[in-house]
Amino acid sequence: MQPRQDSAQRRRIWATGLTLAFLAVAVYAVVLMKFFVAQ
Amino acid sequence: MTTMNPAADAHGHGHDQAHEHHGPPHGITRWLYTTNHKDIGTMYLWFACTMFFIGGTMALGIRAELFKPGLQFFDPQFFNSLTTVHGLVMVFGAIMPAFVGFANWLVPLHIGAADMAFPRLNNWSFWLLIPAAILLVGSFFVPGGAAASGWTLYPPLIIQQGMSVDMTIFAVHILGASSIMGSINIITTILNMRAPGMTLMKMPLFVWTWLITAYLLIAVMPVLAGAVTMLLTDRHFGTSFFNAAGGGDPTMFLHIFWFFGHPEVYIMILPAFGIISQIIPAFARKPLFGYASMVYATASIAILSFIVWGHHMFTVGMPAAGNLFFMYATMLIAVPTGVKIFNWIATMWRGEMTFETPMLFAVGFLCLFTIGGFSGLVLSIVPVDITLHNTYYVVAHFHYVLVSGALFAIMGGVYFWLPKWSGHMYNEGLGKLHFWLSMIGFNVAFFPQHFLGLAGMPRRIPDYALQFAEWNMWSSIGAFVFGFSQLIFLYNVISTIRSGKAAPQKQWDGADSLEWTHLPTPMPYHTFETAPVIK
Repeated sequence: MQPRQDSAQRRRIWATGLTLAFLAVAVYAVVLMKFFVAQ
Repeated sequence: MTTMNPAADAHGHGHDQAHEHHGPPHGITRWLYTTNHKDIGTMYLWFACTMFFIGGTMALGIRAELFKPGLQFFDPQFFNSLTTVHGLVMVFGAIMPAFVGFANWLVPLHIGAADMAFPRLNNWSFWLLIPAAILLVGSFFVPGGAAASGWTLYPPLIIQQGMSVDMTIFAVHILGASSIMGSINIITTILNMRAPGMTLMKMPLFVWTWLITAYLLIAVMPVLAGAVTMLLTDRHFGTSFFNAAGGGDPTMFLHIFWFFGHPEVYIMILPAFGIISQIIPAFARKPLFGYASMVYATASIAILSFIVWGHHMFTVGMPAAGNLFFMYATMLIAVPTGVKIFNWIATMWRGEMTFETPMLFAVGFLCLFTIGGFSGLVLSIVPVDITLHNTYYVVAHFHYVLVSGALFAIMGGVYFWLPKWSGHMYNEGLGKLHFWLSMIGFNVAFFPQHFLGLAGMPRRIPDYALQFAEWNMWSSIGAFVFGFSQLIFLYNVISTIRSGKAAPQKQWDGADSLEWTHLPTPMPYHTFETAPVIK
């Protein structure tokens, strides 16, 4: 069991995680869209 | 960041939290549902070990076939499947998960965090590996046999093969998703959960190398996913991205694949640099020389890795200016890599050195990885590469980087931290025997491959001309010595966990990261529930 995190830390964690997840999905989308549009 | 409890004991626990101390649940559910970073790290390491032996068995199949000229055991199609799946299993199933295992175990301990930022995501990242591994290895058993295009999955060959390719593509997608989720977890943990006083420039170098590696993964794994998605649509949905018959361009796949593939090389070597940077200072009994320059060198290597992909494809007919750009950019990487090599040597300089097994693997790494680096420089020269492309010289080069580089660092790291992880000390004699047999076997296996490549022997061919027979025989003998010596490692690890003698809190004199200085051996199931304060 992890110790309880304070809400500010929890917000920072989710902000970082979601930003990184968005970046990964964006890279995938850009690669596919570039080539599908060219197709 | 959690606040420091002044009543925290030497184990990093607050007395007011004593009621929360408990061990792991028992049985299979412990492993299925665990969110504990140590359990997940252990599972990653055992998974990597299993895949290492599966991929190693394929390698021994390859070397058995190449022991003498002519076809001995396998038909050429199956031989090509062996080289393909060996590569994929070792890269995605063994080396990468092993480093993620190290990250799971060590990142929270090194920064004084209680666990990873997203423990459930961590569990999911691991369990995704199992179906991916089943798809990858199981592709041998479907009609047509496993993918036989080489681990790079080049079209047009890959477009023409059977359903095993779809299984491989699906496996690569799953492994990529797992890596991305692992990376998100690692970056978020490092950026948000460091103990008070643990500034970025105080973090152990292992944490730094993983922070940079995780960014690399997030940047390039989606690119690989895009490439294999396009392969899939070319195969089944009527597109012609890479199919020349439909107006597509197979060379485009090479560009996209290697835009992923070269950073991937650094994904497999930067965490190794991190492990070596923990081991060498511990056995030299000196702080790491040039810490800040090590951090900047790691970042430089990562940035440069995005602009060198063309050196994998000098023979496809890029413009001369393109070839020159990729050649010089590749040579540039030798500078930050050299900074790291010289810093490790300077760390050892006038140190009170001892040579226990982890240090032997670290010094072995230093000598042999440097050979791999130099043969990489040779290959970066365009006219030389055009001659050596697709020869055994390339095979020798990347095995010096990935086996005596990445794998030796993993072995050294396991010996280094096993006393802390398991609470038991390994058998030093067996460890040294494992090192020396690995060192000798590896060099006998791979050094002659430089000669074979220079003489013109092509890779991924099950038969060869008589002139290559002698060095191939030596290479196969070395490979079998190297392969079977890994059983000593397996025995040593298992017997250590089951019945090794108790290890002290600080097994190694010079080790100074938090797990050695703040935590008892064996470690409690939960650590740093109250963050330590770093001065």
